[in-house]
Amino acid sequence: MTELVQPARRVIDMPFLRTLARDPMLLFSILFLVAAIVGMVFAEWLAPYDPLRTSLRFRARLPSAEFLLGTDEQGRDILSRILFGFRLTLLTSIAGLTIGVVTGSFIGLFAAYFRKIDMPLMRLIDIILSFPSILIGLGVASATGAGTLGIILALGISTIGPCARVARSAALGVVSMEYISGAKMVGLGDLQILARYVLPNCISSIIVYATLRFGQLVLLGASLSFLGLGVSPPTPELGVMVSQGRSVLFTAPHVAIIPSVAILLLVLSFNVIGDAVRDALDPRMKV
Amino acid sequence: MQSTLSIQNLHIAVRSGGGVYEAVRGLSLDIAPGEVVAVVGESGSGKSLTALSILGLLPRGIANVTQGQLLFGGKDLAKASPSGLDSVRGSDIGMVFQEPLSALNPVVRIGAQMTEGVRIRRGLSAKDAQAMALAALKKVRISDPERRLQQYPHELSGGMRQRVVIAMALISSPKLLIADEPTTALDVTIQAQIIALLKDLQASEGLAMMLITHDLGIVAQIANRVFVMYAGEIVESGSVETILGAPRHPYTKGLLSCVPELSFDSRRLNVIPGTMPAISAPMFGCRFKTRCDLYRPGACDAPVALRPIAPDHDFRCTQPFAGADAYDVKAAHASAV
Amino acid sequence: MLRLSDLSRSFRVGGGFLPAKTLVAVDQVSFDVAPGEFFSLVGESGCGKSTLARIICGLDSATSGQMFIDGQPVAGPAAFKSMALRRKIQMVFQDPYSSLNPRMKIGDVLREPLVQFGWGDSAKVEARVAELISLIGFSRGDLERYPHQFSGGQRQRIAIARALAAGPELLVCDEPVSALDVSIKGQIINLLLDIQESLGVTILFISHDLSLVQKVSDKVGVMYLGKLVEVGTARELFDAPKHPYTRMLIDSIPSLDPSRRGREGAVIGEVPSPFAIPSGCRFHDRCLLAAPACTAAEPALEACGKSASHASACFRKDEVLAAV
Repeated sequence: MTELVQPARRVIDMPFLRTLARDPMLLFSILFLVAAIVGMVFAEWLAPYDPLRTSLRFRARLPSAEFLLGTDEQGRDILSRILFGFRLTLLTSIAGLTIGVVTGSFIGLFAAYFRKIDMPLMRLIDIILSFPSILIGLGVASATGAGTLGIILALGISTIGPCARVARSAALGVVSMEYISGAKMVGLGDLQILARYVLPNCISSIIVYATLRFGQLVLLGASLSFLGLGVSPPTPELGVMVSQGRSVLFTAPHVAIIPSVAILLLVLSFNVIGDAVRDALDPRMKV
Repeated sequence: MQSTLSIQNLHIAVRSGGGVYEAVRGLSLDIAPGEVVAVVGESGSGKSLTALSILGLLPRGIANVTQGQLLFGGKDLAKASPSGLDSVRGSDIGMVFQEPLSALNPVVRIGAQMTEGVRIRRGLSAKDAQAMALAALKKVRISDPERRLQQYPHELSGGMRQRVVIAMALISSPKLLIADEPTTALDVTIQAQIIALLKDLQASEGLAMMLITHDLGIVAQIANRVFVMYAGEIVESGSVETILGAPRHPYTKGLLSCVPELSFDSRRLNVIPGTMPAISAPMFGCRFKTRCDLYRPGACDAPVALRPIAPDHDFRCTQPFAGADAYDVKAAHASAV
Repeated sequence: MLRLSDLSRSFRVGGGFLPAKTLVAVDQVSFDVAPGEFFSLVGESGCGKSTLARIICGLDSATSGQMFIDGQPVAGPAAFKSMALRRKIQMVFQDPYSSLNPRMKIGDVLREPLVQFGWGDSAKVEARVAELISLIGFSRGDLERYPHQFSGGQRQRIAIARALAAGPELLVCDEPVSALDVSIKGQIINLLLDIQESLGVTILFISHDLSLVQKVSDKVGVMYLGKLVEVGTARELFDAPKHPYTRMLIDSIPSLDPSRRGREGAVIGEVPSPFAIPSGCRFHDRCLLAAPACTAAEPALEACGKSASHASACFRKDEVLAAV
């Protein structure tokens, strides 16, 4: 072989297992996310109680053998509500994230590559960015009515702006590289260049942004639901559970804390896995 | 006479890709007062690390001095405290880097940047500091010095910026100037002017210089003594006439033969086959053996020490060469222009 | 093979808050490059050589003037949409660390031009890739590697292989060895010379390194502030320069002989800003031979004596060599 600058270490056939062994955080994150997804999908069978069933007798009980995570202020089993809650939280956040990131990335990459439309596009983005997400939520809700679709759209639209900025700045760096000129030299069309050259080299920045944004969307979804723009109270959703737990915060803190911890672990797992995905996609790390 | 700078047995370790490796091993060199010493090497030879280590500028967490002494003005800089180094940096030792644009703060005027250091260190008033800055700018023969003080870096050309950087390094009349590839980023005509300037400064200020470069032409123009580095070690050292005129080490000879000198013999350029070994590559014995014509298994696989082969001429090789092989630069020049 | 006729390129800079200014990067440049020739273009920063290279490769358009490839006029980047033309001219870029897509394996880097230019079915493509790899001295296993695993010199060789893939007639090299170490430069230069000699490819070599250019070129053109000030064979130019700027460049080359120091006094001043080009001959403010005539009018590129190839844009061209 040609003498290499960095001698290549032999990559074993199961690089993934090796990475996991070295990184307990990643292992935990993957396990947690898998558990959350399993719980979410099989909630009907796994949940010990009906999440909507209230009980005046068992209000705000601490975790016990009967109620593994305790009950909330209306006597509903927290564990069951969390399992069903994952469903809504994950679905709305991921759907919103996907819509926002895909649209925002497109806009950002196009703006960076086609300099002539850069100015008008970014002014448009600035307009979107100047609206607080809550207002966007209100606007969307009045158009679609309250409900899950409204939340997803609101989350998505509010993500377009910042994601476009991130994608654009990553793409600006890439577009100034000589390999873009090299692509033009072999006659590649603009769209081909964007797809094969620009996007793959921007993807790590976008992924990092997306994982960070996920956490923000979970919280945003909760705020919107709290305001009555999305999911209404009896329906289990992690953010709503936290805000409702405020009413018993000093007497039964576990009602708010437990779903908060669930959100925390969810967001953390997403971030850690996002980092790992970004590293896995980067050829430089493959040696 | 005491040396201005004396480096003894310097070892620098570098963290790279999960491992720690020695990037500079056992380097020793002396710079006499008013002398220009050139450290010649290619990328990866460790020459820039050596320069940075003198002023404690090695990137923290990535590289550090593991052994050796850096003796300057009676103090060992390797063991100096941060405040001790601060008092030396900029006042007794000045440094000039390769890229003048990144050495200057783009949002601060030239005058302010130049006077900042002196005012902090010596507590001078703005007026006195300005006067010193003006004097320094005049020393580097920049055109219209009063106006330059008020300008921003981007308003100056590359050559002028480098003059400003040199002026900043000289403002406190240091005894030693360290210049790391000071002309590489400049046009060839500007390079000639900067080299002429440095030579004049050496004469007028009695300035000792450590010039780090890969350009042998510059070395020929300004250096008094030359140290050739390869893969973290000095492989040959001596006066500039010796090193350029009658080098003995295969690497030095190879390096010289690569310069497209002023001759019309053949069109092809000389090449030293292969590449410099990465610092992480484990090697026994001579680091140059993978690219050397004269490699002898056995002798070259054991550690080779730096030995004098003539007064003021050291080299690191297992085989002393007789005169016939020695690459004769003078003869090559005689056949040219 | 390549003919440029009064090619100019100007840019509008500013607008918005700053008053708009016009920057003339290339000013009525004309020269010919014969097929199979090694033509070098030298000059310092701001002389317009890189802009000219981009125009020749179809990456940028000229504001005025004409360009002919193999006798056919080429209108601008739009003409390069024709794959036949694109295939003829390829470029090797300056920075080996940013000229290859970090996300593409070397094999794909070499296959892409072949697929784009319709080299043939996959068997033919693979055969050609194997040819290219051995031409640059690499081995098959390297095809699976990524650019960051190679050194600067190796990357530059990969870039050259990619440029050669579909068999171009003209290879434009924009400072291909400036970023490389002294002992590695030769590998690339020798490879280019091999390509020129065995494949008959015409090479347009852009550089600021005069000693290198002198050794390897057939013909040389010198640019200053957008204008071509002298052109001729390497021998003509370096033995008997006919333009003061060429002379100044040659005098700036540091001699390797320590006993011959002190010739750099010949360099005066710096390149003026391209926004403030001196009147008349643009070199007059730095020229030892400057005369009143030089501030009044701009000298045209004229043949030197009887030479068919040597031309210089100087009123006092015959006095350049003798001047002290």
